[in-house]
Amino acid sequence: MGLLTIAKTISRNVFGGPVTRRYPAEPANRYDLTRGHLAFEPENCRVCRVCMLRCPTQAIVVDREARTWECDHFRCITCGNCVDLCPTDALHLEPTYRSPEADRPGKEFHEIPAPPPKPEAGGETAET
Amino acid sequence: MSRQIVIPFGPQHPVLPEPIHLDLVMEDERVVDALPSIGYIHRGLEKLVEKRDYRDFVYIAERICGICSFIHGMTYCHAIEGIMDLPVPPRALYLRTVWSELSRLHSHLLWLGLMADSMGFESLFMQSWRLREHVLDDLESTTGNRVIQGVCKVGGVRHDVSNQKLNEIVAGLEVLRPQLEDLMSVFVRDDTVRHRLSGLGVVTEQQAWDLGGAGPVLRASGIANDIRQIGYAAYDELDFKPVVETAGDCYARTLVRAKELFTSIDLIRQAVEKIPEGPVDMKVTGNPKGEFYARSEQPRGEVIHYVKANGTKNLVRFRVRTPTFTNIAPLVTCLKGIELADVPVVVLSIDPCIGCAER
Repeated sequence: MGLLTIAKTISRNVFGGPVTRRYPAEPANRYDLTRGHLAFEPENCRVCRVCMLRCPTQAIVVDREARTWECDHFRCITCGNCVDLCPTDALHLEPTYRSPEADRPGKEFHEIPAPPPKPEAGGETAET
Repeated sequence: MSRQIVIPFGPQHPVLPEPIHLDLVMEDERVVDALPSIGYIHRGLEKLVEKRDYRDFVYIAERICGICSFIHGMTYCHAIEGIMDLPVPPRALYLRTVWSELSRLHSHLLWLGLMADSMGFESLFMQSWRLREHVLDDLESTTGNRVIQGVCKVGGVRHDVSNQKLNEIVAGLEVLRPQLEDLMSVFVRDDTVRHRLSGLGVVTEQQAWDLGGAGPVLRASGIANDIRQIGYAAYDELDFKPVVETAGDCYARTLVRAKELFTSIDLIRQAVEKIPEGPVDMKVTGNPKGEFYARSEQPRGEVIHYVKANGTKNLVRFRVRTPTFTNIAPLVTCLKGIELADVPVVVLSIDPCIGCAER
């Protein structure tokens, strides 16, 4: 009985192939909900700064005058709080992970384009 | 009388997954006293509550620990919901229960693997972690992350999970069950494991109670104490019995955790059968004012989150009492009298999480 069991185990291990995934030849598991990294679309941003004010790790810095958006990816914990709060869907989470970086500051910097001129320009709201 | 020497053990030690530090007072090969010192990885997370919005702090509360993260986030949310008296939708409570139990499954499988590793049983370690991956996949597909789920929020949860997906998880766990039984039979019956763990690091029932042990340390010493029985989240509508062993040694603590795997699978099945339809979150307006103690059962034992708020968006005080912190006292007791070679196994048997204990 013992011999039979061990023979089965050996044959399973020899012919069964590896249990682990052959990464990177075979891609890692990703799901729709996977929080890989934060992505920013400058053209949708209204510079309301809610992402900066509500970021738990203060990773995001938004400058209203200069119209810039900056994220320190070494601070970002990819919680997705800013994505939930953004009123204009300028932020979303991608399921892929960012490639490794060794040097600080590891910041992502965007200039936000000025809004197209309108006869009645809507006021910007700063939600806290 | 032999001469006493002091051997510093940790924070860096090849067998320790966590940076606990003990000064072991030795007489030859025998430990006569152990002096723990904590604070090596203190991060000041409790103080940070004064600087962050109470709704955003849940993501920081989750990061107190990398293994029982979901339960930390959930307990913090319970505390805030308790102050504000929020009627959390029942479906959200059931989903929290399912995720808590999945967290418990992956934490216990991780610990069983580490325990096997600490006694040199490498293949058992690999098998435990292989099975843990299935649970982590379930967590990632429903929450978005493997260990820091980030899915709890004040007033509910962030994502709904379809009933079909929940049934798939239950079906997947039923496939996993025979494999877990195989794994458990090694922990229960294998001579190597029994020889290494039986009679080692005994905490008697009286000691466990007097020294304030929590979770599996208490249950392995014969005290049926499980905070899930107080009925937070949806536990009051589910049926389960705490797993209790009486020997109080490392072997009993291993058995308690191994058997709790099946309790967790049963609880997930029951929760999925009973889960009601409805919303999963609610709109939270205003700021909390008051104080609240929230208790819940982590894989390592009872965790208490104390929250005090003064009606502003920043809280005044946040205090966490983690199970590892209270389990240090029983650990020091059971270290006395054992041999130096047994110290890593005994330290691991309380499932130390120093990240939790020092915040």
